[in-house]
Amino acid sequence: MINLNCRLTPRSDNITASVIDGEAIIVNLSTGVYYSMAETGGEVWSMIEEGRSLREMVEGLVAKYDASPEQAAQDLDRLAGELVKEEIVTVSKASGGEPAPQVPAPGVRSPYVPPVLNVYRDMGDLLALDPPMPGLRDIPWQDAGEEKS
Amino acid sequence: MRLLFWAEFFWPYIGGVEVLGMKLARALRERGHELAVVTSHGDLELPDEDAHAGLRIHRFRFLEALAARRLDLYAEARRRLVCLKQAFRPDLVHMNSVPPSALLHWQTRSYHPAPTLVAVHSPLPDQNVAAETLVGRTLRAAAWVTANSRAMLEDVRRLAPEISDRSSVIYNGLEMPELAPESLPFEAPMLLCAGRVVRDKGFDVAISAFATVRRRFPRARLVIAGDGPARAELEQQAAEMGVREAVDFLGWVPPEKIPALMNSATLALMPSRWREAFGLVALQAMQMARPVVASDVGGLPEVVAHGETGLVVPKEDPEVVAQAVTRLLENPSLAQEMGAAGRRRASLLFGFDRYFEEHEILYRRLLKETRHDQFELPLDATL
Repeated sequence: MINLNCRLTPRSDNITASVIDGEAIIVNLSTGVYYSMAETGGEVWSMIEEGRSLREMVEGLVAKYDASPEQAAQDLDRLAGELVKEEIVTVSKASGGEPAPQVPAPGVRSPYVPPVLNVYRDMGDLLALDPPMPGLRDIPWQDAGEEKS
Repeated sequence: MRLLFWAEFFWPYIGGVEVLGMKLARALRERGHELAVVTSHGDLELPDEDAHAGLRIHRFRFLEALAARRLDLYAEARRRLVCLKQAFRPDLVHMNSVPPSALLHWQTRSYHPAPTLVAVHSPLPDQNVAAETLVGRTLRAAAWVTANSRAMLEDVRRLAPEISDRSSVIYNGLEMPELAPESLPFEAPMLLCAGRVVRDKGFDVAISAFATVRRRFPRARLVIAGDGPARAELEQQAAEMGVREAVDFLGWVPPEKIPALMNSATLALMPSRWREAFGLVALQAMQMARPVVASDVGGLPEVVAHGETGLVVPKEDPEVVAQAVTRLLENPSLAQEMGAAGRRRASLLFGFDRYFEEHEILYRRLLKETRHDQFELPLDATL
């Protein structure tokens, strides 16, 4: 069961991932499914890679965005469930006994958009579509020296 | 108008879609529009930045990055794409079908938001759940979706019913070749199949039908123009059916030589078993006044008017194909009438000028009505 004392660990045996311009791109190597998480999602993924506990992630989001600890915790719980289901992360116990997240002083935080895991299940199908033929080397009129540019 | 013309494959690739895309891009440029072509290298050694026929071509290692799951290449492609979008500042993005690289378009859209037209001209992968797919998301995010036949339009609307009020058909169009049609040869009839030699095209059905036809017309020949993975199998099939010496495998024929090849044919055969989006080969045959025997799949029956410009038959049935071919070979005047009607139909409905103008009108309308793309990702703060 996932709770705030848990830590999510990327399944490096099963995925490859990178955060590019703040957006996380994740590929499940066994299924070929692509995922992306932008903005808060990208930040959450960075925190996962840093080994932060869910509690620390809630604190991180609440410090930066206009979200309540309850909302952030609820969103992270949902996202963690999706990441586990997609075999992107495993869940383990973080060192426990940490205090509950505190609400920071308002006024300095950005608008909050809940992190979303975008799923692209058809990348394998799209990549498998027949490419056009032929390749450059096979075009007979190229060999015939016809002007092509 | 500045157009980002996105095609997974572009020159020097010469499939039907690639050739048509090139013609459209060139015509747009000649009309005074600025174009930047975004495409991939495919499996060829080609420069990242290139120019052809006055078009600027920007190649990205999309396919290598996505297929090999090379996120380093992905990051590099994305960075270059952002630079291109910011420098070129397109008014509109014309995306050909839904390539895997569409993912990068949507992920970089906030760097220069512009309405996206998605032009579907090949069957989309079968999928019953569009919610978590790039295809579904792309269709829903597009400002407009065109399909090159009613059959394709039905497919895309089935995948994304919410696009019904922003989708339409733009039939393919080709310029009429300069070469005039010649009369159909009946003394030694020639049946022509053209296209990628893959199972989907049903050339095996053509060979089976041809074996039957040849018993009635011993001087008939079957010509298969094209190449692909199914060729060896087809050669073997022809040998097993005792017609190998009467079947010519030409390999790839360059697009500009197709009209002359059509002129040597008595009729064109398109026994496709997959959902042909349109069937450019049928149109090319009609332009040269050849009757067409085509299967009842996808958009083919919209191109070939059954009983008027050819005969539309059920797929996967060599006997019915043989009967249709025999009927035409036994009735030269009928075949000639259908050929002539095909040429008229090609000119009337499937000309290039109409194809070009429908696109240009749609572009202008989209710019006027500017509807921001609504891809299902959280919007960046810059939007």
